[in-house]
Amino acid sequence: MHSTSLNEEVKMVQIVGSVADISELCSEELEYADLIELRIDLLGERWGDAVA
Amino acid sequence: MGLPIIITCRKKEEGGEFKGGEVDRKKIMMDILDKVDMIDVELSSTWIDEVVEKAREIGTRTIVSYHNFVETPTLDEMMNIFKKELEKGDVGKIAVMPHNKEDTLITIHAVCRASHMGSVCAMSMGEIGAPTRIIAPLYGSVLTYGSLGKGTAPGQYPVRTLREGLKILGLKSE
Repeated sequence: MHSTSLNEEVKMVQIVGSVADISELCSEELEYADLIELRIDLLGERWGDAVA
Repeated sequence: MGLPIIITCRKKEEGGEFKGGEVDRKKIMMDILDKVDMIDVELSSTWIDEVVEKAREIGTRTIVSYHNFVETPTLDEMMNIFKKELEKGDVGKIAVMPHNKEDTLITIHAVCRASHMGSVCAMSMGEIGAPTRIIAPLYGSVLTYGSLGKGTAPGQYPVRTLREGLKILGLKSE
């Protein structure tokens, strides 16, 4: 899953979209984010689905 | 989805809701390292060195973080935290709670100074601190966090608002 958009040196400002609910991953807001932060502690038992 | 993924499993002491113990939390992080682009581990995690070392071996980038939901440490304290974070990870992160606007300036000052040490990001949380999520990148913060729907931290703007703010400051071209 390693992305080429993550440069060796992170110097550019990147917007991280934090998500508390996997269903929100389909949100139209996704196009405004550069990265997504998944919080396993908030996703509970569903975290495996999120990163599968 | 197509976007790089950062994974974290935040413990209660730093604002998380993980219900398991530290052994479980470490195992989750170790198991997921090769499936994601970046991981975020708290500087206070006793097992941080093992996770960071494994991440480095397989090329997963690391954010080493500090969260304080009670107060804003002094400038010297924050510089010390950034130094320790950058000794371990690729990006140092500090998120703190301001009691007044002056506290938010300390956070901005800290990230500006620390940006000469490496890749860092910082934010003041809550309503008072919310503008730092847009302004801090102007002073060297490489990451800023917005919400996708329901936010995960106090004071987060929706990602669309963040991008608009960064565009106004000339930090995003699109």
